[in-house]
Amino acid sequence: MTILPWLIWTLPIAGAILTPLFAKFHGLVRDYAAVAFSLGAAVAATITAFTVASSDYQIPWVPQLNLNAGVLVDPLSMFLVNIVAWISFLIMVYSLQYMKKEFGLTRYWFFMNLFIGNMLLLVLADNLLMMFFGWEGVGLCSYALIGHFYHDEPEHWVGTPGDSALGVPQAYPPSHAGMKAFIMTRIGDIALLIAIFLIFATSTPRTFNYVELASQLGKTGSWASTLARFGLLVPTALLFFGGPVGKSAQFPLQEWLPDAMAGPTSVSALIHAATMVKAGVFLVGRMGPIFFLALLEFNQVTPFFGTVAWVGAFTAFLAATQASVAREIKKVLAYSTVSQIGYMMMALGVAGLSANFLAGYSAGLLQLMSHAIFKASLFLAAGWVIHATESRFMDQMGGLAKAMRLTSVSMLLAGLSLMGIPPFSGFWTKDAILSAAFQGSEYLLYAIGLATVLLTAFYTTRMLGITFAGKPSANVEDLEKQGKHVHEAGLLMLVPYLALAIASLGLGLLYPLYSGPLTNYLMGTFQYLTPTLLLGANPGFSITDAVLFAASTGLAAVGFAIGYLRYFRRPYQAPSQMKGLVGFLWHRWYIDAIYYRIFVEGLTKMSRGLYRYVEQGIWDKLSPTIARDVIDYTTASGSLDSSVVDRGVNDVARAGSRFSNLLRRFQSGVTEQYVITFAIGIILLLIYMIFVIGAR
Amino acid sequence: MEPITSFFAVSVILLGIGIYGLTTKRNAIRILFSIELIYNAANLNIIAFARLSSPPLVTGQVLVLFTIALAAMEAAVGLAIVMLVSRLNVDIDLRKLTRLRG
Repeated sequence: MTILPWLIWTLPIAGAILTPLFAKFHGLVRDYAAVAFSLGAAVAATITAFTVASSDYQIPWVPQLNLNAGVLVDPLSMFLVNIVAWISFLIMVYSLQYMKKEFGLTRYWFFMNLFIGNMLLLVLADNLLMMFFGWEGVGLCSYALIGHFYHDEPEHWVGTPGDSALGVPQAYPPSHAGMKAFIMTRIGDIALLIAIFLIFATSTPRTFNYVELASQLGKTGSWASTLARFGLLVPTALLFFGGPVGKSAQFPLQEWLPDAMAGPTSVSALIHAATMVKAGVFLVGRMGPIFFLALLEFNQVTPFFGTVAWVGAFTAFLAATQASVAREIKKVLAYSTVSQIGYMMMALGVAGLSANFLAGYSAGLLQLMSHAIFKASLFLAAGWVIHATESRFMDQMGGLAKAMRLTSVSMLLAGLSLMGIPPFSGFWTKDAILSAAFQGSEYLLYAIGLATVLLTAFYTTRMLGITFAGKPSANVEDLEKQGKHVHEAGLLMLVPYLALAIASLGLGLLYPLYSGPLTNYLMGTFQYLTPTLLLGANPGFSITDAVLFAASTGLAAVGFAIGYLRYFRRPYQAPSQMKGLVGFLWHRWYIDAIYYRIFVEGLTKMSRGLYRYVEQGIWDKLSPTIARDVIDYTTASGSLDSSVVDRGVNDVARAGSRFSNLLRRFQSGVTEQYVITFAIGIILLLIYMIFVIGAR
Repeated sequence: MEPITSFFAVSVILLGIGIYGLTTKRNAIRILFSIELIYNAANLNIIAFARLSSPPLVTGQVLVLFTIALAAMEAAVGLAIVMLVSRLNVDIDLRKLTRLRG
């Protein structure tokens, strides 16, 4: 059964490659085949998780380099693969109806399946090199899918038209957003690549394999000790973390994700819930334990895991504040993703800082699971809302609860999970992170986490209030007048997000039952990778936990109450001017604008400066003299050419022509001459035979 | 004079006449005759060598029978061509048969 783990990631990629072929038959064949391939991957993932033993299944790849391709079946990869594959499948089902009337569908299905396949590859890969293939594949697909509407029609833009910060326009067309995502994540990827090769170069024997890298630790001359000797261990780990920072949109590379909303909503759901941003968290989860042991050996744990935790916590807070003022429904959700991923990073960082590695580690991964489920649901529902109201701005929606009851219920359930209200799954997992931070004595991180809880509850309530409560906005009433009745989504779209919302509630209700076994299951990752990490069991429920539960729930309730009073009770008016604090948050703390100012404009200015001072100032002044020299030189070489080279060539040609003329005489076509020549030849031959050979 | 020398003498004379005819005559029939003479010079040589070798060989005669047959065929084909040419051109002067020249 060793073929099964391979099928998980090869099936979607095969589906992608076959998509253009299926498109030749019929549009429907193509659509349903694409969905079938993603379903195949999900089924393979589940069967593998339950039937295939944890192991590293390898086949030779480049024998000369002693390099094997392999899939690593272990609890971590199985846990993630199942989340990714099943949520991706539901998003694919949703796409069937959502994308129906759009153009470029063959391209869409191709990249969707390729996206899923690459994500699964990156999770399943047993070595850093294969992982990097998947990693870059995910980047490429995200670029293509974010820029899907590359005709850049105004309705597909992201941001408020006409808005600008520090003189930088704050509205972007899809093609620009795709490029932005690609370039920003690339910065992190370069750092990641450097780190991968540093680790590869110092490992003995050289290897990319996780298991081998882990088993080399603690021995003399291991990669960790070599790097530590040069003082490169922490820098390498931090460079490695650069990749996840870019991919998972963490500070300072978080700016691409809000603009990635320019793609179709199903793509946003895929990027936020199942693929792409989860890749970074996964990679920290995969290499985190290995780095922890490596750093522990040389007492350098704090700089790396401290950075991870603080980057995560700061990003969580930063994005939550931005979500509190956003106008576009997808942007609220995008900021919220950045914020929630920040939580996960914080948990993984706290894992290394505290005595109990497992607590933070499992909290981060469980948060990944619950976030994937409720965020996918929220996005898919938001996609329908945007479609129905033909606007991406929340203040052009309003009062939708009556028209689309099930959608509003679904969004409410998923939203409560996002807020962290018991008993939804989001509550448990977010609380596990906060308690891990608290128990690890990282009180400042804990405080930032709590503040973010308050903000999260506030912006989620605000989003739900503006969108679904109150009276319909002018835009919705206009639509009604035009006869475009705002109504419920079709079944193919409704079922996926409703199912995910209910799953979010169900997983929350059942959490006390499965959390223990699931954590133990995830602990199996260490058994496989880093056996020495099996320290500290789950401490169990205590009074502290109860207090922490109460604190976070209380703050969430406060956030909910503020949001409820402001946005459910009163009609929402979009502020005409963004000033003061709101303006600061609205313009994303001006980080985006500053990046544009420094990097984009900086580059443009530098190029212009180069043009003016170097090109015009130096080269253009030099060029007349150079040109004259060049002309002189050319003239000289021209005369040399005609007098020497040409003459030689002509002479050769003339000699050839003369020789040919000579030969031509023999080709007279007169038979008699040929006969005479023949007779003379024979006579000469005879003379030769008689007098030369015969004389011997 | 040894017997073989007289055979060779005849053979050389035949060859000489043949080559002379080939080089000087323009009439197609005469040229065919000349070719026939050269053939026979060769045949005579072969038979003479076969007859005078010791022990005498029959292969020479057999080979020459084949050559005669081939020469007859060649002459027949040649004459047929010449006849057709004469019908088309009236003249059978080979110098004037330039229609096939490239």
